[in-house]
Amino acid sequence: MDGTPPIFISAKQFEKLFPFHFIVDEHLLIQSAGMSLLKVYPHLIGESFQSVFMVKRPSNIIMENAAIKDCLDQIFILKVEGEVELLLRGHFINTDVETCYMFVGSPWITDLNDLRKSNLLISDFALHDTITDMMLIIQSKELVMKDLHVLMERLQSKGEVLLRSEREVKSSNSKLNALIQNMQSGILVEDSQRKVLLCNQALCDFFEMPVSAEALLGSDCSSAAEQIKEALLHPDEFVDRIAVLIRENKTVIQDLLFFKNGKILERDFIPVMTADNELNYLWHYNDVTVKKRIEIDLVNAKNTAVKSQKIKEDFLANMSHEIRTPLNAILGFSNLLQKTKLNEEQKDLIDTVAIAGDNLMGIINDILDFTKMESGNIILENAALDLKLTLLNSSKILSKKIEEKNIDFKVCFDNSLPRWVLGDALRLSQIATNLLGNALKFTSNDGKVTLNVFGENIDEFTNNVSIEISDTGIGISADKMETIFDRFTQAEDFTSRKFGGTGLGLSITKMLVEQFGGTISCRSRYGEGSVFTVRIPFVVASEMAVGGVLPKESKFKKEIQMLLVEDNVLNQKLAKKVIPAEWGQIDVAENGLVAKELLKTKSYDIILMDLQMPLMNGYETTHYVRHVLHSEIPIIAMTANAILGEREKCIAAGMNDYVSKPFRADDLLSRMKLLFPPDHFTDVIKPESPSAVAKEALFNLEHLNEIAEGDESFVGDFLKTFVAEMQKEIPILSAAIANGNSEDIMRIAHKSKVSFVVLNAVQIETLCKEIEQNPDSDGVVRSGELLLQLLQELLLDVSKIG
Amino acid sequence: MYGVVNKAIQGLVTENFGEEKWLEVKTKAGIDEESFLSNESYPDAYTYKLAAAASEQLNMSLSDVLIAFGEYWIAKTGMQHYGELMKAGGQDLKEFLINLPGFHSRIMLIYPKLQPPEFKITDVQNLSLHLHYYSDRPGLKYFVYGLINGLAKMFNTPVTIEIISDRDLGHHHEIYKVNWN
Repeated sequence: MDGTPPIFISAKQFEKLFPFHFIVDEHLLIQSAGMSLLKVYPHLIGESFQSVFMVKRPSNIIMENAAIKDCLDQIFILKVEGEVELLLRGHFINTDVETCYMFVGSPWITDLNDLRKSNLLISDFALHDTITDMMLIIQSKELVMKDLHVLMERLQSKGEVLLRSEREVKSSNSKLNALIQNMQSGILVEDSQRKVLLCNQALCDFFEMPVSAEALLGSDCSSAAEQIKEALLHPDEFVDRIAVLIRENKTVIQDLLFFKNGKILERDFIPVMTADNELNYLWHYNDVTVKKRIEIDLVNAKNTAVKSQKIKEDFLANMSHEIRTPLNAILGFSNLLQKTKLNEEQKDLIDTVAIAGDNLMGIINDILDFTKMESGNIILENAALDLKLTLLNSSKILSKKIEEKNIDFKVCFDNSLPRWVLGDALRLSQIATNLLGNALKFTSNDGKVTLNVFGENIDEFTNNVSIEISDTGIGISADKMETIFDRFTQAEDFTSRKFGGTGLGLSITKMLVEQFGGTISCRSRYGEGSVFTVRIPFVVASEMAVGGVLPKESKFKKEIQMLLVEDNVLNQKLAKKVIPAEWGQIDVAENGLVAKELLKTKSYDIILMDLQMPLMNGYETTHYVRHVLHSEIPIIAMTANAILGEREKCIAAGMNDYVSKPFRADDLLSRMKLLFPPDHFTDVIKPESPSAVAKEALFNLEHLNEIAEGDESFVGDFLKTFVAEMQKEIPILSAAIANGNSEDIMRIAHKSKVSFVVLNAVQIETLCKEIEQNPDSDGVVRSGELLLQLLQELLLDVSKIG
Repeated sequence: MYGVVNKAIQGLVTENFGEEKWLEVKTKAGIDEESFLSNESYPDAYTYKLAAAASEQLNMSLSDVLIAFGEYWIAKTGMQHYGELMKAGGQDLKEFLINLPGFHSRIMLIYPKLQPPEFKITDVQNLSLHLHYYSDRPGLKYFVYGLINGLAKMFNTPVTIEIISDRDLGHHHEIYKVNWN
């Protein structure tokens, strides 16, 4: 004994500590065994050791009692064979009985299935036995292995995906590379340090670099640019521009590079941010030499075409002018000749000349209009126009023809239509004249032509006006209906031969109607006549657009004092006639000096100032009033010079406003209304006078009668003088038209305008204004022709009254 | 907690609601781990976040999620990964529950980074016992409830479980009274 106190434990305690022990006797028969071992092998007791156990270690032992004694310090590994195989790990120890040995140990379990098979529970093991913990460790390691397996599988699958992606990237890279290398465009990609990352052969070829694209990779772009710049037309500009593009770092496309050898490259510069957030520059070049050459050729061809068109238009205008000038003379003098005493044969001959001339003039006018319209040179006015008056005047123009052919001509005008609409009176008149002219042309003597005007309100501001012109003429066959509005087309081949004309009339009319935003249609039956219907949506003119002419009239609440400064006695009389007596007192000063004296003695509400006067003119008088008298009295200038800039000149001189002579009372009043406070006036509704609606003729005596205030001799004298004066002007006008003398035409228009206003000859007056303001001398000559025509008709009408 | 716990939540969600739902739960929980390693230790917060996100995404109360998770843990994780050991834990529910405290003590040796809960069994009767649950982790009482349920199912033994002591009610630890027939 070594002095250590002996340890005594009970059999139960021993059992807990060694539940798998067993004891063999000297014959190696099993004497006893632990509970857990017996749980596995219940029939162990009495069995021989050799029949139950196979000694795995020590392996060279001959199992007999004495041998165990020799191996007491060795580990024994015993295998139990049979239904339940189990390895027991432990060792033999002495017992109190010398020949008996005890095996202490426990099952060696590395596979948990063995535990299951042996029907053992963890609680069958001693608590100190770590074999169960080892089993848990083994189990947890298995778990780790499972995780690893899963991870490995995932890794493998990802690896395969990666491999596949790599192959795809390689394949697409190779395709991309092949694509870039075979592109017609030159491609260059450089990094922010200006090293070549990618380029293709086309780039090398474009810049005539004697290297392969591959050899350029990694080289410095700046020095490459320096080397190739001499091939360009502007070498330094080429290099500088590259620096600017890189500095500004913005996409710039279609820069052009011009080479000395004539080649032209188009260059796109595109800064590119890569997925790795690195800045690269993409340069893309295209050889556009051929394209640019074609473009230049096309521009040249277009310029030539435009020039040719201009030459054609100029030629047409010149030729028209050249033809019209003698033609005007022919027409003018034919007209004069027709009015002289002629025998029947002479009359017949001169009538034929006049008709032929008229037709020729019509053709030329058509061609000119058509050319203008085709080139978009006709722009419609959008001023207030008197619908009824405009359309009736159109028929008046043709009255001679109506009379000659004894046509039963009827006008049905729906009086509920608005009187004033917005549009171009001249062109509306042209539409009506063309259609009426056609109707008259294609209707035989004693036939019937009707102008029917009606409409419907689309809304508060728009009226869809229908102008229907029907005739009992030759009509149009069904198969020709589709082409009648085509240019140079007439219903029948013989039409031109029989009736004359270019075939442009309806085409022009249609274009004009469409410019008005309207439509034109035709119903016809061959041999029975035709109905042409024009529908135009007219905007009803507001009172403001009409110029406040209708329907209200303002009157002064109390009489005012007016000073008329005018040297011309006739104009003095005219002004006194025009200005209603109820307005108040008019004092007359024949020049500025007299006006000065009057202004010293009397207070006036307004001064009506002529401009051109002897001794002291209108401008000087105004200066005196404003700067010497320091008076703010309203001054309205009166002048016959209806030219642009005149009003501004008067305003600059200190005058407040401006009226053209001869002025109407309502003209003057509307100006005065702007200068006097509103409480000076009272508004009264002006009754619509029947004569105003019935302005069918080229003129009426309403205004003249107003001026005359019942003085019939004044009216008679005026008309007589007018006819005499105008008859003097007609040959001059004819000659001016014939010679293309626009100045003479403008002068006559200006001079005669006052008389036309007095005669309410609105159409002619408007024409005169247009002539005065027209800057185009050819236009003046053309308008002069219409003036001549209208003047002759007017004289005819006035003579009838006389 | 070890990855094996989070893997169990993943399994529960994936098997019942699909892979897509699991990704939604993971995103909702703000966890970007692609997968969990069973023997790797992860922050406890992961587990709590996953449970909370699952509750939200699956429209279940947190306690229901934890009970389902407990049952799943026994049926799948325990049986699949530790099947033989689980079976070696006891021949019936009562025996297994009695052995449970020792089992968890061994777990601590194997998973040194783990703070495993501690169990104690008292009041062992023929048809009931008291299971005491001590843990530093809050909020997992329903997980334990689910675990007991899962074990009862494993041993095919219908049980009723009463929580007779509750930290949420101010008690020192949870005590589950497990009754069986």
